[in-house]
Order: sequence, then structure tokens, then C-alpha cells
Amino acid sequence: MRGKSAYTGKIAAEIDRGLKTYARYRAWLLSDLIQWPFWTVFFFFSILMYSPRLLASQQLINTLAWSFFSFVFVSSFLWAASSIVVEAQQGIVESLMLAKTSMRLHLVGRTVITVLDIAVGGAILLLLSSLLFGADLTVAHPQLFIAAVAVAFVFFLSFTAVLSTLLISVKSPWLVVSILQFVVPFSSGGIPVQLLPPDAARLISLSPFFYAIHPMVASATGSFYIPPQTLFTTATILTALMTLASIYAEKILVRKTLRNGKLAMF
Amino acid sequence: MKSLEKFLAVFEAEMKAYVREAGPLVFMASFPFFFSLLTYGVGSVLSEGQASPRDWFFQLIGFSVMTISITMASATAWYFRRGMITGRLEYTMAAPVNPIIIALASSLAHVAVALMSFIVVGFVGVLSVYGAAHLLNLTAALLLVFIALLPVVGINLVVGTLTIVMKEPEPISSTVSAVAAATSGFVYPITMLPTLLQLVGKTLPYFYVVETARSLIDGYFEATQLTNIFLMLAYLALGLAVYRLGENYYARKVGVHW
Repeated sequence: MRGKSAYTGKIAAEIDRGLKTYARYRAWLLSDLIQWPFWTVFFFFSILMYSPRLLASQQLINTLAWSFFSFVFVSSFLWAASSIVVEAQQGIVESLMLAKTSMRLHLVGRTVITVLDIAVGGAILLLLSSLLFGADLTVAHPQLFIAAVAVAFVFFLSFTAVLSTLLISVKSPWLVVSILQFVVPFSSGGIPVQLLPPDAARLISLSPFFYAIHPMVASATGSFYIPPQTLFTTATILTALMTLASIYAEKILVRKTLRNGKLAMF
Repeated sequence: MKSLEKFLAVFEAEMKAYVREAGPLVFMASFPFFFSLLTYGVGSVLSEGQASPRDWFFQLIGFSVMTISITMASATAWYFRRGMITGRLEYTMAAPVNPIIIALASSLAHVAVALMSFIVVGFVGVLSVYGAAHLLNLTAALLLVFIALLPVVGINLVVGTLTIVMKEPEPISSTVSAVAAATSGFVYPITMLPTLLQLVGKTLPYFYVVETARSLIDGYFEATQLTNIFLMLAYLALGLAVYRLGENYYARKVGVHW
């Protein structure tokens, strides 16, 4: 098999790998069912500590619910980055290189788990936000929301690939991911920018991650910090740049590995 | 004496591995500032400037202990996972060193590293909110936080054993972190929670770590708090027992290969 059919076959194989991994390790599902209700409680009370009367504002509660959903989204993607590090240590990444399979394509398999995590975790978080805190889950702009999720998916898949190449040289990738999973979403719209002091909001709107996260939250709640057209155009451009960055990062990694041959050593 | 030497050797090796990773450690120490300032910013807007610096300090210490708890759980789970992948875990268990010594030494190295980040966060926080006079309280807090973190080591030994059984570190460490974060009063008073969740929080050691840190820095400490910390040490005994059970079962009967 060559060309397009080989590429399709590889993607199908990766999706199959992801589904099998998820089905084999039931701890994933069990963990999703237990951890997300607790994270939901944690996120809401972290903000409510300052102002319990926040519960009276329907718009704010809706915005918080969708902003916290972005945490599920980003966190699930970032953990995929550490999977590549483990595979590098197992020698799988070197085999991928020999088979001329791109690491980004290989990440699709792990992304299946990510998507299932988001589906289960995100649904739990949103439902509990509605049940416990009264969030209204009606999506204000459904079509824009689908587009925003698609853009965020490609953006974070590419970012995960870039991060993977950086984490390979770190001995304790989990330490970085444990913290980055909070830093990335919450510095980029995971806490609604409308709730922040104006200067902080402006600063956050400079983050490239903001343009991947805010379109999801804004199209769900209908509250845009930046006009939708500008937001989506910038998001698309940044996603394209992130994809290019992931290709470039992988090329550097391959070149470095072929020269040093130390990928599986740690 | 020989056991102590072995313990120190493992401890030293683990510490060296951590020191080599200075970047992530700096990251770990800066995270509580980042997050607490973000929520304080939101709090200031929502309360129209009524949020006090003490509220910020409450969350700063809370986020610091939370970071420590999350990274300790994660590091333990990954320690076992990497040990399984490389075969190091089997060698460790087959080595003429009591595996409990190895587990304890590497866990205490985690605690020591965690305390380093707590010193940085506590120093800056105390200085900016309470002033230099309270720095002595911070020193007392460090000592008791060290003891209060020992039961967390016990929980992490259970996390490690479960990683061997389930073969996936992330779901296990993330679940423990989520339960601890939500119920332990890290960033909001535990009294805000429903009774059931308060009960969960009070049966876990994390609540006592953060409560001890805050109250000692603030300059008060009650005998009951000390009793609670010592009661929580049962988690360390439980962790060691579970680890021993897992080690006996997996090293001798099943094997811990990947």
C-alpha cells in the first residue's frame, strides 16, 4: 500500500489502537467517572469562595461551566503528550521512525483516549454544573461551537505533538504536565476573561491558547470578548501555525535522534 | 546501621535525580503564585475590591499544598510505571535491600523536594502578607508540615501499588488528586462543602497538612490538631502494608514486567 490508502490505513490502525487501549485499561473510564465530579466541585468553590452571591448570576454560572469544560479539554490533550515520552523510553518512537510513520499520526491513537476522556469527563462536568450549580447548558451558537471544537481539536493535537518533542528530553515529564494542565487553560480563558480585572483580561487575550479556548466558551455562552469574526480568523491562523510548528519540531527531533541515537536512553 | 546506609544511598540518588530537573521544580514553586493571583483577581472583581490579601494568602498556601499533593501522587505513580517498563522494579524487588527501605527513601525524597517548594512559596507569601515577624512561624510550620506529609506518603504507596495492578499511572494519580483537591479545603474553607464531602476531607490527611500550615503561620495551634496529625499516620502504616502485600504478590507470583 502506498500514498493515500497507506495513510488512511495508518490512521485506521491508530484509531483501532486507541480504542483497544481504552477498552483494555478500564482504569481510564473508572477514573473519569470518579475524578470529574470532584474537579467540578473544586473549580466552582475556588471562585465561589470570594463571592457566594455569584450563584445568583445565571450568565456567570453558565460561563464558568463552559470555561471549566475547557480544562477537561486541555488537560486530556496534555496528558497525551507524556504518552510519547513513555513510548520513546520503550523504543516505540524509534520503530516509528524506521517505519517512516509520523509521530503526529501516531498521536492520533492516543487522541482516541483523549476524545473519550473529554466526552465522559466533559459530560459529567457540564451535567453536574447544571445539577449542583444551576448552569444552563443551552449552546448559544451551535454551529460556531462545532467549528470552535474542531479548531481547538487540531490546535491542541498539534500542540501536544510539539510538547511531546520537548518532553522527551525531560526526565520527569509528568511533573511538567501535572502543572501545565492547569496553567495552559486557566491562563487562556479557563477562567472567564470577563471576570478578570481589565488589564489581566487584556494580557490573557495575548496568549495563543486563548484563541483555541475562548471560541469554545464564547460560542457556547454567547458572550464574546473579541468579535467572532476576528476571533475565529485568528484562531484558524494560529492553528495553522501550531500545525507547522509540530511538523518542524518533529523534523528537528528526527534529525537529532538520527545523529545522536539516544532517544530510548533516559 | 546497614539499613540506614542503604536508605541514605537511595535517598541521595533520588535527590540527585530531582536536582537535575531544576526547571520543573521552579515551575512547581511558581504555580501557586500564578493560580492564586488569578483567582484573587477574579475575587477582587467579583467582590468589587473587597477581597483581602489574607484571602490570597489562604489560597496561596492551599495551592502550594495542592501542587505538592498532585506532583507527589503523580511522581509515585510514574516511578512505578517507569520501573515496570524498564525492568528496574523487578531488580529493585530482587535486590538484597528491603523494598520498604527503597520505597520509603524515594518517597521521603519527594517530601523533601515538596518542602523546598513550600519554603519558597511560604517565604514570599508570609513576607508580603504578615511581615518578617511571622517568618519564625513559617519555620515551625515546615517541621509539622513534614510530619503531616508522611501519611500522604502512605496514600502514594497505595497509588504505586494500584499502578502496578492497573498498569496505567495517570487515571490513578489523577483520581486521588481530584478527590484530595475538592475535599481538603486547599483553596476554600472545607465548611463550604456538603457534609458528606467534609467528612471525606477530614478522613484524608491532606486537610490536616494545609490546616497545620495555615494555623502555624497565623500563630495558633491546638493540641487536637497534633492528635489528628498523629492519627493520620495510620495512612503511612496502611500504605506500607499495602505496598508490602503488592510486592509479595507481584514480585514473587506474577512479576512486574510491562
